[in-house]
Amino acid sequence: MTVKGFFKSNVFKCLATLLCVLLISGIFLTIMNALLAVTPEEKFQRAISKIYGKNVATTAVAVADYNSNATIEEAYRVEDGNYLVKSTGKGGYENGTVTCWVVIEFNNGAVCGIGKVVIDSNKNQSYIDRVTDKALNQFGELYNSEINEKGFTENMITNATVKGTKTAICNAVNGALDFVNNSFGKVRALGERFLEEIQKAYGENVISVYGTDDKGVEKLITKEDETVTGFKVEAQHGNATVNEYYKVKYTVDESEILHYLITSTGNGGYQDGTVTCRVAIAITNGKPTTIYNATIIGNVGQSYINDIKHMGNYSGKDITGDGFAFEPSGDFLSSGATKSSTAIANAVNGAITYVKTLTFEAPETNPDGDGGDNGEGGNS
Amino acid sequence: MNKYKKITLDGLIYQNPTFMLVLGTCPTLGLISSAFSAMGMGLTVVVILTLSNILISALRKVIPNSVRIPCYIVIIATLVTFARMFLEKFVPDLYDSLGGFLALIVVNCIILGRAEAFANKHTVPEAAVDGVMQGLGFTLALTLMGIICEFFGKGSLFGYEIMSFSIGMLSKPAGAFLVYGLSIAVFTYVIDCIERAKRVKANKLARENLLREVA
Repeated sequence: MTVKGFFKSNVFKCLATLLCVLLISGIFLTIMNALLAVTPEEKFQRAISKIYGKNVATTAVAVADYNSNATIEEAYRVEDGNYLVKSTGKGGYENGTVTCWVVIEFNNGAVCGIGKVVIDSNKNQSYIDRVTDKALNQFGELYNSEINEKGFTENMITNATVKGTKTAICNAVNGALDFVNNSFGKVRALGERFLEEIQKAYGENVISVYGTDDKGVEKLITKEDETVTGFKVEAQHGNATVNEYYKVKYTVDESEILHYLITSTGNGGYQDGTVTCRVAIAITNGKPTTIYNATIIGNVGQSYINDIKHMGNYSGKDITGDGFAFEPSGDFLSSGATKSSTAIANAVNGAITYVKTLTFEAPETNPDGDGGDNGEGGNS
Repeated sequence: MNKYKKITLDGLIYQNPTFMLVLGTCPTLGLISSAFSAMGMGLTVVVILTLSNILISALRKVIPNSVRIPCYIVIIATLVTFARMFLEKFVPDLYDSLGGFLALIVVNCIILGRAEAFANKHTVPEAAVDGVMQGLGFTLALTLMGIICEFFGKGSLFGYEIMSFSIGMLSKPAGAFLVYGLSIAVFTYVIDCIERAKRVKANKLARENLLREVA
């Protein structure tokens, strides 16, 4: 084929047409890309608008990781004084991750709440859509009430059924909190958190909680305490290990009331796991008489712990009888969580058994005849 | 029948790409769990299908037959890329909700199918009307199934919560598959009934005419 023949052939026509189409398309897309490209700043403002509902001024701050379960990607100080942190939580489903934007409310040099949590992206989290806005809003609601020194745990978030993904989200939020606390604020003392947690059970009553100092000497716990230590026990009682206890004192009608707040871990839970409870036992006339309340403060492997609904049934129960023990049945059993109910009953029984081994000083007699019906306890 | 009326009825009913031709199944199953995403995908397809039909019809005498498919693919891919840029810039929520399905429009059978079966054989206005009507047929089908799946699967409509009761499976592709199958069955049954009624009416009319002629 001659050169002239080639240029007149169908092959050339096909090639030329295809090249022309490609060239025109390429030029068109290049122009459109220049006109319609979304800049990283625009993307960031969109992310902020999703969270705040409006555009807000932000200042980027240097990032650092203070939590091994999370990586801080970006962080900004917002014009309202709060911090906006993009944090990636590890430990998700199939070792995946979840990246979240977390608004940390910040006031007077300290973290005071979580404004909002928004999921930005994820890796391997097939069921991420099960984590609804309702579930994410719980972070703001639970802060200051449920959060303890370990931060958020996946079982606190109830409106979603994806354990791995929730773990990664909790890690992301905890990482963001640790970052802001450590980088910009004074860390809220453990004593403050601890007292708030205990105070919840006592409502309006002004309480004094006593633990020990580092030498084991009894001391009043204050909000400023950076460590909180109870009276160490670590003894096995039945199917439970009693870990420690605190003394709670408060006054009602000029009478001082004493409670022993015992931390006890019950065995025999789901898949041989455990449930740790804090059991407040009233000491009257130098003897343990009733359970004031019992709360779950931790568990190992109890997937159905959120199905436990009967903890309130322990409140006010008389424990004065000999050989007294709660059975995981009737009022002390939650359907769907039989094994966890067993572990809880074991924990409560362990706490009761332990407190009955203690001896308490006889109450002082009040010459006027009122008050003084409570004894001061001590180690047996 | 007016040819534009025929194109319109074909696009919306008799050759509905979703219910009658069962084309574009991948985005259908992937996106009908949300009415907003389904409608967004449908409207995006309307625009891309109309523009691709117009361009392919206009270039049908320029593009050699042996390279027509690569040329169509380049044109469609260009339009899809443009649509992605446009949505990312101006409708980011829709862009996020369509995800990977937006890029997959390039290989959507409806668009390449209409280019090959209709646009390269008809004039530009006819191709444009066909693009709009086929796209609208696809949009209506997707939106209808999106409403059903979202209402029963999530208890909401276009993102607004309506009721607390929901059948979770219907918001997943497996549930979408069931709804899709049932929708095809219902649509086909209705069309079949209409066609039968038309045939009965025509036969009756023919019989009456015949009797009149005999009498």
